[in-house]
Amino acid sequence: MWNSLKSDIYRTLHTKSFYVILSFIIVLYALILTDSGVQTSTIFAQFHREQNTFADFLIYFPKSGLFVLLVLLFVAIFMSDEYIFDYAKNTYSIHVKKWKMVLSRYLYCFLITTFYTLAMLLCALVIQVILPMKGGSIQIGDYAIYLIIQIAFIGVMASFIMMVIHLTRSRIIAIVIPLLYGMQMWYMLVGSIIIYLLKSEDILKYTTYQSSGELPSTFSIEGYSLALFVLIGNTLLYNGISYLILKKKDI
Amino acid sequence: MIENIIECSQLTKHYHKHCALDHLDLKIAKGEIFGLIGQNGAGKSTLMKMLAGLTHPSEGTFKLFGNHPEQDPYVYRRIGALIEQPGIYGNMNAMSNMHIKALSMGCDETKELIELLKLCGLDPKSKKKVKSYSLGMKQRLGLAMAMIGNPELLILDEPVNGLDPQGIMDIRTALLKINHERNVTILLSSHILEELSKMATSYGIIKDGVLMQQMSRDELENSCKDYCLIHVHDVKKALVILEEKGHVKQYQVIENGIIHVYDEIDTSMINEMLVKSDVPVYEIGMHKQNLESYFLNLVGGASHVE
Repeated sequence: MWNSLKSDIYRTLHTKSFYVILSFIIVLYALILTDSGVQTSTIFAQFHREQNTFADFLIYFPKSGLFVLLVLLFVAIFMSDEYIFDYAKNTYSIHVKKWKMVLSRYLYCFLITTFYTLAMLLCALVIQVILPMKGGSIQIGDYAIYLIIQIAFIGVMASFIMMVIHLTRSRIIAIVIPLLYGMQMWYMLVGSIIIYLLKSEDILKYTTYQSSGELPSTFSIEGYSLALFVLIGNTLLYNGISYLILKKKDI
Repeated sequence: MIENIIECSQLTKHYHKHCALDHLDLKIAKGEIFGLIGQNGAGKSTLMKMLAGLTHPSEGTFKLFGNHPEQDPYVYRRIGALIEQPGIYGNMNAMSNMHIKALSMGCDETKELIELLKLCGLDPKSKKKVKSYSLGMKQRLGLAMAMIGNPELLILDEPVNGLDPQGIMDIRTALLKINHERNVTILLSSHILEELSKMATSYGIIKDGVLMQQMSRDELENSCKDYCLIHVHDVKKALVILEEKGHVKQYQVIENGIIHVYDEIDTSMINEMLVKSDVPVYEIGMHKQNLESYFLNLVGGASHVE
């Protein structure tokens, strides 16, 4: 498992798209922070330099559509490369323990999202020093938990994308999902189907998109229990399906 | 006691209604270079994929190194495989591809990787992206990657596919070297049967998913003994002697004093017999079919061999 993780990290550092996505994230959010008119607003994540504080930005960016879209886009490209270049036969041989591979890939997604998040945080802090805006207040402990949960939510979607890649081996489908998810179209699509079938809007709070979007920035057991339920449930579901696909399907 | 590296028992693979491999039993001993021969779609690649862990058997089982693969958690480190296309990242150079595979196997020794690339005729310092490689160069890289971690078993499907004559010779030399020096067992297929015959110590012939024959190199050589060619000055006199003294029954007279004898005979005795009877012998010897002719005869004169 650790060997696979090391191999993935090595490949990441030798992959052009990793640096391209990193540059995009930094440039786009630097533009948002410097009030150049660039905005990414979704129903659960809005930010404007003139109206909000730096603390608001820190809460806003890990759940903002563009950040999620770019991170998931990298995961989609990176993971689908294995099938595009036929490398999967080196990775997913039947003789390799599949649960270790699935766990390794989940950890990888968590790590890569953490890296992009920290890189963005660092960049935001530098911009705040150079071009200060209203600070606002934030509890470091609460924020750390909030950040970890938001990263884990991105990890859930990454697990979903990996599941789709193992199932379809299609790069196009893998890339379309983050685009739809980041632009909240996935949420709207899934939401419409759920409402149509179950005749209830309440069920939408169990979707990762809404659960992540409505996550409070201050930690409390009641406020986080639903998010953790959605998080753990979906993580087990998508990775469990990936495990079964890898276990049963020929390479 | 001979240690078997591969033991297949009733191995079967169905793709929907098509049976790609039909209750195949096979044993390959340690240190052998086993040549797998068969036509397109005979089941060679399916068998190799199964042994390399890329395909699940529909029925039957197999053992690698005496154990079922699931019983040995590190079995994947003991096998190197190159099946169909080499699995390589086109947007990286050869060395990066080697590092990625080596890291995932937990044996990332740069010195060893450099040696493997050199052994397969590639420049370890080359920054050229693999996507711009020729088919032969990709094949060389695939082979180098298959050899990462000093595997005890190499499974190679058409390893010399796309290589030029020099490349074929280089790969042959490399494979023979690792087989002799490290006692690596090699299971390989090639559509160049003459090339296969220069390496293999034993053979298996597959047709329609069934293993028709498994034999050692010596057994194959004996099976390929086809007829005795005798070139004499006086054919009529020679035939009388062959029939009366040599008790030869099956023969054919070819033009220019050449006789083909299909019975089992002792060539030195026949030679002595003819010479003593004043029949000058220009040439006498067992004529062998080449592997390709033997294979084609066996599988029913197929027009294309893979």
